[in-house]
Amino acid sequence: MGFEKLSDIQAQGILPMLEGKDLIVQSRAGSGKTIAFIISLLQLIDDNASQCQVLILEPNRELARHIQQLIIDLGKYIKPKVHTCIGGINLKEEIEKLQEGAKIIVGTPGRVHEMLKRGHIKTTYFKLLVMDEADDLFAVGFEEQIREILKITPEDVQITVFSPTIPLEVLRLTRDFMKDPVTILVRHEQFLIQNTKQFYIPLDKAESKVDALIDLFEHIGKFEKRNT
Amino acid sequence: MLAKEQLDSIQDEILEKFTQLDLKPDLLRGISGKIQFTIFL
Repeated sequence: MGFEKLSDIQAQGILPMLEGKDLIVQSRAGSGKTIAFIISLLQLIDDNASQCQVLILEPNRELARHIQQLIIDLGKYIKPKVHTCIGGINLKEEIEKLQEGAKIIVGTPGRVHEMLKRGHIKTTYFKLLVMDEADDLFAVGFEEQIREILKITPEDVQITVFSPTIPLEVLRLTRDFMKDPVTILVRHEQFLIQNTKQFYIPLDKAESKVDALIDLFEHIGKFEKRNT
Repeated sequence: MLAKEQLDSIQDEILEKFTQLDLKPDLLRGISGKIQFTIFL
């Protein structure tokens, strides 16, 4: 994970999220949409409140764990408590973890719905709901649970959808539950051109290449140490 | 020195855009630590 240049999605997607607008982002993998919503949610959470404020729905356990790790990495200095609420984990253990409190919950719709129904996840302080990889969420048959989750979610909660494609079921859901969403579509070709910052180092002679490369690597090494 | 200047300039350019969003200082620190470069030979 990292930034080589602020991508279109990052540049255009963060602002409406920070402004509290409902948002639909359609873009292929690698466009920076995940980073965009993670930065936004880390900015939006109240650092002084311990209640759950953000719910992220992922189509599978692996993605949920991956997103949890990205939040921990980017939130290294904010240190938000993030919990993965996924199937395959013992229910008693899950409930105990939820009782310990988490500001951000990343989960799969089945388990999240179950915990909401039982009252182990409270929606009172919800600020933001993210449906990531929405087309996959519907492809694996989570539509019913997602609709139930959205019905339980307070109406003033900001809803955002991130997906490479927007199938009809997703579109219907956005019409049923979202309020004047901002829509961002980034074409892949556009992304490839705009998301890569390139530069070159002119050299007098070919033999200088190795020295230049060593210089470059040494600087990147210092740069990385400075930033960690 | 040219490489250093180029890398610094890219880092500044990225951080400047995030700074304009008025993000939490601790979040900016987290972002700064994740800037990475790819070298094509």
